[in-house]
Amino acid sequence: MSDGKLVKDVMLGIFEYPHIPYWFSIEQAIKVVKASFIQPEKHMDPLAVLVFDEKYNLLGTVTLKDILRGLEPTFLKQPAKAQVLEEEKTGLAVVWDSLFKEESKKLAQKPVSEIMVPAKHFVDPGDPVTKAAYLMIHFDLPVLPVIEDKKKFVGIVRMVEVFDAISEEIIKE
Amino acid sequence: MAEKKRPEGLPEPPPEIYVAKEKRKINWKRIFFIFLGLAFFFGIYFSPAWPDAVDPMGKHFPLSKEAKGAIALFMMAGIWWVFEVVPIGVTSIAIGVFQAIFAIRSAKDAFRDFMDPSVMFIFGSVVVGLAFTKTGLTKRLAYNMLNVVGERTSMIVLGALVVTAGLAHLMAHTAAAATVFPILLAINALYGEGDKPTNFGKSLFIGMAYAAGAGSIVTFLGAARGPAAAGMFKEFTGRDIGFFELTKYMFLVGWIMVFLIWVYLMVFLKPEKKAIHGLKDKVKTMMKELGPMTGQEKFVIICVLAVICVMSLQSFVPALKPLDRSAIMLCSTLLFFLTGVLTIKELEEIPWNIILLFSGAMSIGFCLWKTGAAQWLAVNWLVMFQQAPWIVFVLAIATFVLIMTNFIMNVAAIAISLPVSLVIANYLGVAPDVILYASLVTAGMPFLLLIGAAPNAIAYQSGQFTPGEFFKHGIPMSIILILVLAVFLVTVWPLLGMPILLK
Repeated sequence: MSDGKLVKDVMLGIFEYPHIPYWFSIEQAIKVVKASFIQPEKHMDPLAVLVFDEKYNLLGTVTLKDILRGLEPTFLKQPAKAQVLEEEKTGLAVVWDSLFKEESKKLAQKPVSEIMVPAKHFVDPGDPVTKAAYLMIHFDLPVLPVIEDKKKFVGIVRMVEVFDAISEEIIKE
Repeated sequence: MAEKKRPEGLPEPPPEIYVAKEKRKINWKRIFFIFLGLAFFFGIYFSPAWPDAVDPMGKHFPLSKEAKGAIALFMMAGIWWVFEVVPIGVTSIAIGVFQAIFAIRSAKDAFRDFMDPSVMFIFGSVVVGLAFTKTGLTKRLAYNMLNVVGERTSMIVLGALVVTAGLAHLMAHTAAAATVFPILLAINALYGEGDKPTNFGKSLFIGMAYAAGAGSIVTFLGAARGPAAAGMFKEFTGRDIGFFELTKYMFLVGWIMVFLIWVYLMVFLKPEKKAIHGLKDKVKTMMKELGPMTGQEKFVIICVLAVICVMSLQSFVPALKPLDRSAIMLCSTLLFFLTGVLTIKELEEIPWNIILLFSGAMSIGFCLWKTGAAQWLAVNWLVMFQQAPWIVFVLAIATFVLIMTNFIMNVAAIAISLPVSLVIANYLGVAPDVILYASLVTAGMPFLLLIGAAPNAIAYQSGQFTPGEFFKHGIPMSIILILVLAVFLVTVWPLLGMPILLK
């Protein structure tokens, strides 16, 4: 894909994407995400919400998965101190539905900073889209911040556009 | 690009937006304890020669440079273990490295202990725990327990204690606690008080931590301290402790403690509610989710029972006697991997930190013993006990181990106290067996501090009790433990045939 698309060809502007400060609660984050659902022409699927500090610097992202994980009751998480194999707890998960009235609502009051994934992987506008694909595959990231000169945050690249660019290359005559 | 608009909760966007700089925190406490450990090591190692120890018969025991080095290293390892300045397994690496670099023992001797057969036995028993977890057997046991005990809170607490203790017969007590923990959290959530600490929650989690310890003393599979102590015992006395022999002496102590823990909890932390309504239905759904027992589960049960059988039969069948316990244990490891029950993923998830902890504990234990440091310490200590009756001495040792095991990992407590106690026992005419079993009983039950054993720390994650509350309930329970031990020392163990005094 040497003559293929670059990150700058597929990236979205920062303000085309929902973003929140780190002190917002999970519940507030949910409201922002829900509000963005009803603007399908812009971003019908907000794969992530951007999280900023009080000086408007990018801190990280919160995905739908992070929000759900934040609402998950403690018993579905692995005890941190135990050095044992992680278990799947499908059976126990049935108890979760009994806890929405109190426990999950309480958990929704936690700040997003506790569930946010810090921004550690970036692409440059001049990078090929394949680099973005690699980072998304290997670090399980639905969106990637685009930064210029290693510090200036200029946009966002999403999996949808990366998929589009790569799949077009594959199926074109 | 869309028009700039002010996002909710944030100030007016600046002309240029940057990525926040990562904040780096310096952990001064950790740095302090790293240097404190090193200061102890170098302070003792380079100090002028220490005076000889003199026994009641007037015999002198000089402290060689290597023995002083062993004490220096023991101090450093103790500080690093207690304050976890590096992962506990890495402290063990330091034990090997310091012995080799400072000529306390040869590198060959220091590092050979890292793969001692006892360590391999521990590795094998950790793998048994993994197989139980991976196949879902532990969950099946726990759900069945819930099904049996019903909805009464007192019975739920008893069921939790029995299952935790029972699992700790077959797998490391840490693994048993970690498996039961999420299930108990779910039960506690159904109790309906949210995160609020309740007597029920306290009983459940403090009880789980205590029962994991009590159950783990019964077999060699329950905790690494058993095989580690038996390994040292063999090295020091030339005698092997059989699988059945350990269980014969420990079974009653372990289970009496489980029931005493329950009685204590039901008196002092009586649950506020009598029952959790609806629990039975939930359990039914949970069990349905598990489905019928799979072939893999059956295979794991057969393998583990076969291993336990062969190890138990060693005490009765002379032909089986020469078989090494670790080799028998590792047969199950081989079978699990050969049949695909476990894969490379599980091999990589083995808690190497814990395995290394045992390696280091063996290495420092043997180091204290082989350099003569244990003898020097014991003789100096002996003065306090020279006139004491044997029971006072044995209980004093057990209490010392009980206190130590609260501060450092119980394997390390055994590794430190056993070499010294066995030397003193010899002077006082007490059989080494009594020292071994009494030490193993108290080493398994650190009821006071959260750092004493991993199940304590796991239980604390429930948020149901404070370290202070754990300590408060630990004091009476520790006293009860010493009383139970005293009763066993004078009545039950001699009846079961344990040698008490040297002829």
